[in-house]
Amino acid sequence: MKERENPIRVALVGNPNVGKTTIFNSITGSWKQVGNWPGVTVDKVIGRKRHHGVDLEVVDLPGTYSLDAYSADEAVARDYITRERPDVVIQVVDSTNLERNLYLTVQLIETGVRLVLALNMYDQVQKRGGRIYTDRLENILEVPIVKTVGNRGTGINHLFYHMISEAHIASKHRHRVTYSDRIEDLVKSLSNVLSEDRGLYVNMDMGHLYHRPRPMRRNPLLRWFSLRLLVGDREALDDIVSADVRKRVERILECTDPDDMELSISDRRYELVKYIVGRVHRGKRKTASPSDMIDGVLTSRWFGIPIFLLVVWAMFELTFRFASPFVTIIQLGTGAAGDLAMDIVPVGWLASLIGEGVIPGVGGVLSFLPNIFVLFLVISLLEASGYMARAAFVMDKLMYRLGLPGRSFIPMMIGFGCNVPAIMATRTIEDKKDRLITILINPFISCSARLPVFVLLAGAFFGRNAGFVVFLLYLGGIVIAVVSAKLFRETIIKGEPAPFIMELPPYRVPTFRTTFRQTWSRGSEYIKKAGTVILAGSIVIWALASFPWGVEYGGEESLAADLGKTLEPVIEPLGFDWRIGVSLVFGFIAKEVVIGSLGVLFGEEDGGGGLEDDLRGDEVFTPLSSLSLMVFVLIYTPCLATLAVIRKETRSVKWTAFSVIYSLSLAWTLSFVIYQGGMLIGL
Amino acid sequence: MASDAHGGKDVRWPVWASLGALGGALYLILALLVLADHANLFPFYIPPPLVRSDLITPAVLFMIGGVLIYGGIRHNSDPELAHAYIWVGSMLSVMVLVVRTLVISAEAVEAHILLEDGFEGWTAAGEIGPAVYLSVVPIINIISNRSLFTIWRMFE
Repeated sequence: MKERENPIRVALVGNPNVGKTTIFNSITGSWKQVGNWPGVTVDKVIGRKRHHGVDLEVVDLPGTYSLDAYSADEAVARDYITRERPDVVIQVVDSTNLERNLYLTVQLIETGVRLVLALNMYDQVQKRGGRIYTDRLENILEVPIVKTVGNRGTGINHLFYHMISEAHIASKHRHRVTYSDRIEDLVKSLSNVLSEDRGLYVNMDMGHLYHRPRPMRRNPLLRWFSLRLLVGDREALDDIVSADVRKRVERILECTDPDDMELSISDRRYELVKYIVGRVHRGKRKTASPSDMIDGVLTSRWFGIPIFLLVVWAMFELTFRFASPFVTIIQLGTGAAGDLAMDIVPVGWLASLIGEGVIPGVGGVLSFLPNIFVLFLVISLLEASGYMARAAFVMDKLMYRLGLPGRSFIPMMIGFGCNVPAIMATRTIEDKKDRLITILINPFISCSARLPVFVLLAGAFFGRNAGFVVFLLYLGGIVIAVVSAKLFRETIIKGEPAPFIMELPPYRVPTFRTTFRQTWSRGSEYIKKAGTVILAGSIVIWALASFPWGVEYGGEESLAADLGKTLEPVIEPLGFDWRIGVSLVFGFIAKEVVIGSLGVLFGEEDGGGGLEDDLRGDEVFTPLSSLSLMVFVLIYTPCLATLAVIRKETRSVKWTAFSVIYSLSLAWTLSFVIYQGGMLIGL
Repeated sequence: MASDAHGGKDVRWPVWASLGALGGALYLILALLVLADHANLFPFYIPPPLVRSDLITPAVLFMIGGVLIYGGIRHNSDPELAHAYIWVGSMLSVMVLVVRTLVISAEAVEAHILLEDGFEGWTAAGEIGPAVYLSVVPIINIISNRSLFTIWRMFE
């Protein structure tokens, strides 16, 4: 075998939720996020591996049922396969659902890629008493077949062998899918015309083939391209560079109906898939599985939503109450460390920086680490078990009435962790308006960065009902999100939501390894943030509270007071003073900074009692003003990272600005109503 | 084993369905008791572990009880679905049991080791609400009935 200079580029493709990322992690040794619901991966993820001296670049692509690409994430997968032309494509197939998966196989073969089929979850087929005759399948499809069990690493070495050997041989498909005479004639005419467009070759990353003596119209990719044109793919038409070729292509297409063509082409592919499955698969007669029966309960009309609420309540009960003693221990530790720094650091300003700035700021945020880890642990368990998809299904009816498809609920659930991946997860939503609305309402879903603020304030002012208050705030976030969706749908983004079709994955027992990895990977992001953004924020706030040098720390003469007091007229009706105003301004960078700032600006020198005691002892804080502040933090301006991702996903400054203005106005209005309303009734 | 005349023939209730319905009925009764106590509708004293709880407890009891009872009564018309209802109801009981046990353990640490404010006079017995001890019935049901237990196999 000849040595290669560049790594072999391997693409992992397949239907959603077939275990592509699990296989990717096994191949590359990565810890990328996996989940038991469709749409976990929404962008391509690249990993590298050296195997027996050969360099491999493995690309994990978002799941797709076909190469027709109806949503943004599916387009990522299709474009990578057809434009960037990886050396080898591994299609990960759910062995328990061969018929559905082979449709994509047929399309991949039509594009002429070097394909390897990984029959994943093969153990499940055997457990159910079924069998797949892989030798027959290999003969029919003319591609190597490997049986794999991704989460145990079974078959991975075999995959390595095939991805390396396939990369060095020419594609060996002799067969091709043949369509009706009319379609074949049209494909032939289109291929002949398209073969004259050199720009198209460059667009399709096959410019180097243009001058080869073999007639390019026999190239399978050109045939594939012609089929895309026949089904009315506008993007394919836009890839044609030559105006003359485009005109001739449009003339050919004038006499065709894309819907009829699509129906006829997909019928033929399904016919073929059915034939193949009939030849290679022996399974037991399908009856309702226990999984179906349990879905009958978890998604039932009467019990579905109450069960979902019970699960969410259990999640917050654990997050708040179980983690509470661990939080107390860390707070005692950071309080003592702050006091110690003030006592032993001989230089005044340095002692103040460490003891009043860095330790209360960073320590204040880190003390909520137990809550964050418990929350992420429960979210990981829900994702891995398959319940997340059921939650979306259960909420669909309610969401549809409010102008959103049920699919939007999954990004909302992801938002409990962080709004950034949640907004990226909206790529699975096909309808552009549905997607835009889902992006705009996602920041109202309370992310883990806001949790410490709620834990601190609810713990300080609502005693043992704090867990329930936090649960209500999270529910409040969902309610605000869906009501906003309804408002947008009725006013600025009019239209009907698209119907919701989603495959419910089988239930699985979450494995310890995967759950631990997911929890750690998300939780460690929080620790990193504490050591970077929050540390920097704490130092800046300390400086603002200390300068001009010599004034009382955090006193009326400090720069922080100057900044805060310019905001005071606006925030005073909400029950906030200038110190809260400064914290909210810095919370724009990252919501955890609110805690860090409160720690710096409200922390007492003898910090032994912790920030909770300091807040309770300050006259500005009452249960009512703390509730007003929690609601404000829940709703107000998304953090910087979230705004950046809104800008990227909407590709619009206008919508990003709208998100800021809308959330700020809503936060102010609701906090005003809560605080002034509460004052009126004497709370 | 309970039995019932249904459509002219005897339809027998298996143990799991009977235990499920019984568990469900207990949950509902306790939920009503807790609500009545909150509304001061009881003229006599009820020991705290029996009813003392927050307002969310009756909601939890109603929900789990509802799922279990519905499973029990659906047995005649659709045994498989009934089976699923009782299994899910039992699993929800176990989930609540686990959550409450972890919370009580954490509170014990706060009360006895960290000596936190607000935990003076805290006892574990005072915290054990109906949702905890009622989970015994569904657990016995799961352990004693292989047919309920084997549904777990689908997760393997």
